[in-house]
Amino acid sequence: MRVLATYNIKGGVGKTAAAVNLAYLAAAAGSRTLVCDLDPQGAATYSFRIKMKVRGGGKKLIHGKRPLGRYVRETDYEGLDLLPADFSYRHLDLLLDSPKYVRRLTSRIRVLGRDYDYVFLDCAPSLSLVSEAVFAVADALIVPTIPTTLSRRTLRQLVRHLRQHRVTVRLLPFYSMVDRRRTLHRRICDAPDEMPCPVLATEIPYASAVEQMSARRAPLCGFARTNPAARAYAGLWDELVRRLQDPPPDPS
Amino acid sequence: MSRHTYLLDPSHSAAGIVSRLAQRFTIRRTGTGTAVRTYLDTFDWRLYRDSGLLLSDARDGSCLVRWDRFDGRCRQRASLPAPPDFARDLPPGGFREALQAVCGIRRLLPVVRIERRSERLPVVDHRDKVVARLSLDRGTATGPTRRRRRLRPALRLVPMTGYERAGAGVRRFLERDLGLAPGAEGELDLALAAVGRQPCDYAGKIELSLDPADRTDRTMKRILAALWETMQVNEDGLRRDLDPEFLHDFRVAVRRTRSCLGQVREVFDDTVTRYFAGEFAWLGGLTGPPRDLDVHLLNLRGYEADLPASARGDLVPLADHLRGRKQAAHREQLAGLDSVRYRRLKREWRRFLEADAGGPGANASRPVGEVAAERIDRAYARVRKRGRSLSAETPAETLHELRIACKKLRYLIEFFRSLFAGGPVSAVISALKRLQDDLGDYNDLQVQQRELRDTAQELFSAGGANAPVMLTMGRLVDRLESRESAARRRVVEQVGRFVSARTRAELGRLLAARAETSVSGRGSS
Ligand SMILES: Nc1ncnc2c1ncn2[C@@H]1O[C@H](COP(=O)(O)OP(=O)(O)OP(=O)(O)O)[C@@H](O)[C@H]1O
Ligand SMILES: [Mg+2]
Repeated sequence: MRVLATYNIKGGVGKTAAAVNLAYLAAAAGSRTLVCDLDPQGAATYSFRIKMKVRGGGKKLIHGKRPLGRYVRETDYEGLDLLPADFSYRHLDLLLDSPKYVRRLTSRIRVLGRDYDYVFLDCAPSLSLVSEAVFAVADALIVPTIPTTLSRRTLRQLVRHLRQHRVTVRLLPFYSMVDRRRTLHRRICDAPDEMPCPVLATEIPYASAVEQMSARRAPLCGFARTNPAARAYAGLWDELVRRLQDPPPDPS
Repeated sequence: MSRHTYLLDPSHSAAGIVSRLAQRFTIRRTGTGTAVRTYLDTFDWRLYRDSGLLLSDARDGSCLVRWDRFDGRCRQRASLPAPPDFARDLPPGGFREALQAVCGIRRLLPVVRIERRSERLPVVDHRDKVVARLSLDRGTATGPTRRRRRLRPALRLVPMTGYERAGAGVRRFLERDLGLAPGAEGELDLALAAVGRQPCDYAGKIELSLDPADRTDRTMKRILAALWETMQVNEDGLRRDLDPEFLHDFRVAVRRTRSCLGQVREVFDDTVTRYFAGEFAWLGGLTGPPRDLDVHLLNLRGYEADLPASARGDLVPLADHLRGRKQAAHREQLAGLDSVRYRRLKREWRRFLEADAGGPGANASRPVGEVAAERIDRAYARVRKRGRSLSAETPAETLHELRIACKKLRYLIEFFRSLFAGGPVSAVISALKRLQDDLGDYNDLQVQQRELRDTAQELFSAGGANAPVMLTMGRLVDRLESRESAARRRVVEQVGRFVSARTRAELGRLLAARAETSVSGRGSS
């Protein structure tokens, strides 16, 4: 089982789009796949036409006696399941006020993940106690990064934060919403040395088809597999699978 | 969550059912799709017995391989370029390990192939989210003998996790409102029935229920016929060398046949018995060399796992050499199986088994329960005699004789197992099994060392060995040597337990229990 979190401190960078499409591709390639929607806005849940609700909300997510598997729903795509979001997750941080509870949440996610080959965590933007749990449970953080100066700065903040807190999770940023016609995008994508850490080679281009996902309520790779952005997600997934075979980062 | 199959018969109108469903539920019509599915299992149905089904759905250029539980829930899935021939063909990971634990070295053979046209009728909710998978399936099934049969059209309902209520609603509608009856059998069972196959039609061991009061000659023939059947069904896989177990099961059946003829005397005509014993000895000899090489090659895999990664490559010349020899030995074996002598043995043996005439021997007409108890008692006495005075100094030949004596005892107990009550048999057998395992380990370790030394010599003479290969082989021999002395210590320990007064008493009770049933059995007949 591998836990992959689509994560960024910044909002609106393509985390959910990545989680939904990569999970779709993983399942289509034969892996048993689960998406955990940890964002109270529930964009991933919405994309799969599933009702946002976890009976008992965030409290049950952390403290419930029932295994998390009880809340899981099958999506329309074979092999792909979803743990829906709940609006109460906006208070999740208040419920995680002790390291004990953070550990409980991570262990519940791990137990849930036993039946899957890949578990995707779609996270809300921010640096919080929830993200602390995510860092602890994830094998890799997949960080969509728009090639702008500001995004580069945010990525640097994340790298610094992880280092300071001795988090040894694998960091796999990729360029998201890339518009190669824009000078700034080109300049940033083509200057890897100025990035605070290595960035994956596959770029996801800016494409209006991605925006259609919320209207169609389906993964782009499901309804427009030949679209350039859909192909880019497929390339990204291949690259990620390869990178996940590398030995994990050294805890030192 | 289990799936439900509703078989339709000519009185049902599929179109009518679909239109009534559409009146009651929102159905997203997604058209008709075709699919080709192959169910896979080992020759001895290890997956089916393990309560699972391995299936491969063809896709363009690849296949989706799934390991499902009987209720249709998916245990493991993976996309592969082609259906796997062996568990080891899967990519490393949980799927491969779990499958390997069940299938071991056995080949995954196609059990039945289903070609299906499905009209997909997913039931959706007000969000247009699928809440129950429903399809109307038509198709054909093809068995390994290439017989293709039409399957009855069926409505299939697969409820979905998280939408149990919706699934139950559809099910109620189908059963109450449309009057459809859910079938108890799954897709595989239906397809097998269509092509005239029975699941678990081979087990690798004989399961006869014998009557202690029956004549010995008749019972013996039943046992011999079951062993013959085992040889026959394994012959094709053996000839095609599908996996080592075909040859193994074939050989075990030959050995048991010989043991049966030799252990239970004075039943059939002496010259006839001797003649067949000789022919089966020949057959056993014919299959010996390829089996030894199979074992050698299988051991090699174990050695590789034992060695540090840096030295593993050193065994490649050895493996190539053994594979070459295996092929040659296999060809020779095939020549033997194609010979007039084997054909004659087949013909004559079948005639012997089918003949009604009773045996002329003194034991022929006695109740088999009595004869069996005597023979087992004798065989156990032989094991005791050899096992009583074991020590660290006992020569290897004595241990070898003990191993053979144990084997004979084991075969007898297994032949006649159903004559005795369950509990004590299992206790004695499991003690015997443990002892045999240790004796077997001890013997294997000796054989392996000898073979490694011999092969090293061969490789060296053939100029196919360099220093690293020789060093690695030496290292393996070393390791085997130290394991051998440990195995020997275990044998001495185990044998003490098996020849103890307690086991002896247990066996005595067991045989006595048989005597009673035998008496009452005779009384009632
Ligand atoms: N490659 C792309 N091209 C064009 N639009 C995109 C692309 N990726 C994402 N978008 C759009 O940008 C918006 C934000 O994307 P998304 O929801 O995936 O980001 P997010 O990081 O999950 O946001 P949030 O932080 O709110 O959870 C959405 O409207 C989405 O359709
Ligand atoms: Mg999001």
